[in-house]
Amino acid sequence: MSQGRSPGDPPPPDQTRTGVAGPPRGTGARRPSRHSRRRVSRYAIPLPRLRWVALVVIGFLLSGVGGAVSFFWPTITAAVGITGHTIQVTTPTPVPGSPTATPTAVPGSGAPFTVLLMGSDNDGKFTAAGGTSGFCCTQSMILVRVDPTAGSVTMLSLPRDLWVPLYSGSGRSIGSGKVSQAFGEVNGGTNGINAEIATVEQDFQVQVDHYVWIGLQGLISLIDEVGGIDIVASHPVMDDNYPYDVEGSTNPFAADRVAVLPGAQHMDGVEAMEYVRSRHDDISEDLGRTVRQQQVLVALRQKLSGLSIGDINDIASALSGQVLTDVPLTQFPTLLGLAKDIDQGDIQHVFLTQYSDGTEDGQDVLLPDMSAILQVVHRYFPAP
Amino acid sequence: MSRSRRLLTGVVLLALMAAFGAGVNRFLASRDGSASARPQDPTQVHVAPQLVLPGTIYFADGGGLFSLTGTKVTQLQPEGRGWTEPVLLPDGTGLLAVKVTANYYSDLYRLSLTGAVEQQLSSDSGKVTATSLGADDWIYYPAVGPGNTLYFSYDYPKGGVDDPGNGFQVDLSIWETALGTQITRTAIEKKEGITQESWANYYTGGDVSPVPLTGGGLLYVDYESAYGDSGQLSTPLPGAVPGTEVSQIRMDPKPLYNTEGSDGPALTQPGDDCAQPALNATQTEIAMICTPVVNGAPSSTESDLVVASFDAATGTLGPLDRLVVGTMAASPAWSPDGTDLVYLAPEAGDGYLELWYLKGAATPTPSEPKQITSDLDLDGSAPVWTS
Repeated sequence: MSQGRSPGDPPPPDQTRTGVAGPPRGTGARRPSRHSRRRVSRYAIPLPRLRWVALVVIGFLLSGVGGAVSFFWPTITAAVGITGHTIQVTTPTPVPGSPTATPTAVPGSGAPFTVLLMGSDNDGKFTAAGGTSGFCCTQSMILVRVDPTAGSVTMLSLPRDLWVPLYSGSGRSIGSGKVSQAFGEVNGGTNGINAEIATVEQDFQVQVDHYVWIGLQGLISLIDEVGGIDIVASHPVMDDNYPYDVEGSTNPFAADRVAVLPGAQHMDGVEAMEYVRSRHDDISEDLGRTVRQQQVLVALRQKLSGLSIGDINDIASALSGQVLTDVPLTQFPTLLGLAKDIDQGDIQHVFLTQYSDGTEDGQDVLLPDMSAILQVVHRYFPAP
Repeated sequence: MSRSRRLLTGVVLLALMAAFGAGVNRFLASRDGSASARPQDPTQVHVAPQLVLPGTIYFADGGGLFSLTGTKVTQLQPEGRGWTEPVLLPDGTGLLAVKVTANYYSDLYRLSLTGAVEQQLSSDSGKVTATSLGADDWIYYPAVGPGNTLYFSYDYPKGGVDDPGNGFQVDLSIWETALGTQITRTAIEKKEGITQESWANYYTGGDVSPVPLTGGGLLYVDYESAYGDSGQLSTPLPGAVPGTEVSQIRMDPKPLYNTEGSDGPALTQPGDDCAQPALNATQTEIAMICTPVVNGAPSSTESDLVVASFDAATGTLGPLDRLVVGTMAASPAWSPDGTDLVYLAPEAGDGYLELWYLKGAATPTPSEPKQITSDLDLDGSAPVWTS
């Protein structure tokens, strides 16, 4: 079959019909054969029309992105305030013979990483009420080891009354105190978080890769925004001296009565807070409270796994100012995916009991058997 | 194409683009997950005809009291009023229920079957101030036994009043009195017609869920430190997790009353962590909820529905048969004929507690559980199933 065209041939009728232009004159380009010209005329889009189509597609894309950005705007603004707070903490002194740590891991990279979860109020309540104590302590500290590859999580609660050396974020010794008091010794906030991380790293010989700090009101708001948590309360949690300080009370020393009955139930944020924070009618004292805190975290993880994209704005708004973390915003989808993939059976719970009651500085404290504690800690958390 | 047509086309395209952007925004907003799930008015709950159970089931939802007969839910007391723990009187003429004033106190009331309050049976409100909260009291877990004997849990004695220097102890103990007796702090302090039936282990939350036995005495749930009565750090009880309180179902057979410092014999082991006992009409089968330990801690998201035979004469249980596992089961109640169960558990993907039905629970081959209701928010207290 000939691919050429005789000079005397008439132009193909479909060329004029569709207005498809041939090669520009004078360019030296070979004119297409009849066969190929037919294909061009049937399927190709002329350049001006192509531009229009591209313009329209881009317009729709921009419009869609604009719609999405406008939807996520509350999340974006809240996330800028919450995430990406870098920490500057001195590297702890390694313990000779201790297990080798994995390098600092980035969530989502597949390598195991350790997160220090801290929960406290901002304790501005004491200053606001005319007190001088300013900041107090982190009410809850849980070390979490996440192994994305194995799909496992280990949670280790640090008793808040453990009497240990305290350090500032720069690694400077700031005396001894309850492990939870490093936060308040440097007036809370980011400094307090840095000091708490340095203290945990130095005293427990672990490497904290990331932290998440959440305020009392933040936890209440988070639980309310996910629609409450569903939890099996372990026993009657009764308290006649529960702090009444997060529901609009202006008296930081006001007390309330709490009665959380045992068994399966749906808790809103305030009820869940009462369940984890009450400690007065508990024969195991703070140890019992740490067990309940881990219970609530597991229940919350289950609830978070049921969230959809439409819930994110409300949650971000609720957490604004009540959560601080150094985990970058870009890693959150990975972490949420991880939370969905891990079952309760993949979560190992560890509680420290290697201590005795004592008194220091006029305070009831827990005197640690650090040698025994480090053995337990390093069974689950590698030393640096 | 003429200039005007091109202009018109452009305007239409711009409008479509704007609509598309708004559509994306609305689409994202519509992708609400479980966080947006909220229960609805219980009286609007639809029960499928094939799931209709005989008789009437009374239950508490969101602080209100309701009854379910056939497919119809009737409001006895409106939601948001603190009502919980409905109990049917033995002669079937009325109900008892607890009304909670949140973070202060609770009281026991007698109601008609239509929900009208007939009598306030306790007065637990004290002088509420920030420094004297111990003047208020909690009353929970009412149960009526033979001879109209009323059992209940009460947070007395407690450190706040008895021992001002040690005001953190607020444990529930079980008391008994004649139904109709006015329950007040003064009457309890003086034990005027009111008898203490159990002594709570200190700082554990105490004793709850009395179940009267037809032959006298009662079953109840006792909470104890995983380290035993001392609460000190030592070897934990078998199967118990350090730092937790474990529950055991105990029996207090008359005339062997509990005494201070001693509990009735245990029917379940600490490691089983069983609570919320319910006896069938002949008191030969017991249904209860037992919480498994998962990877070093009591599960916070699973509790099993367990059934066992019960011999009141010897105070023993048969083998524990775990009929429902892998969910958050709660508060079983037997059918009037003692063969089937209703209990509470969350709807899949939504944690609000709903009514579930288990046919033939006392038989060797019980059927698969069926969900009776949806969109409720049952409060965890046991329903009542009557003929």
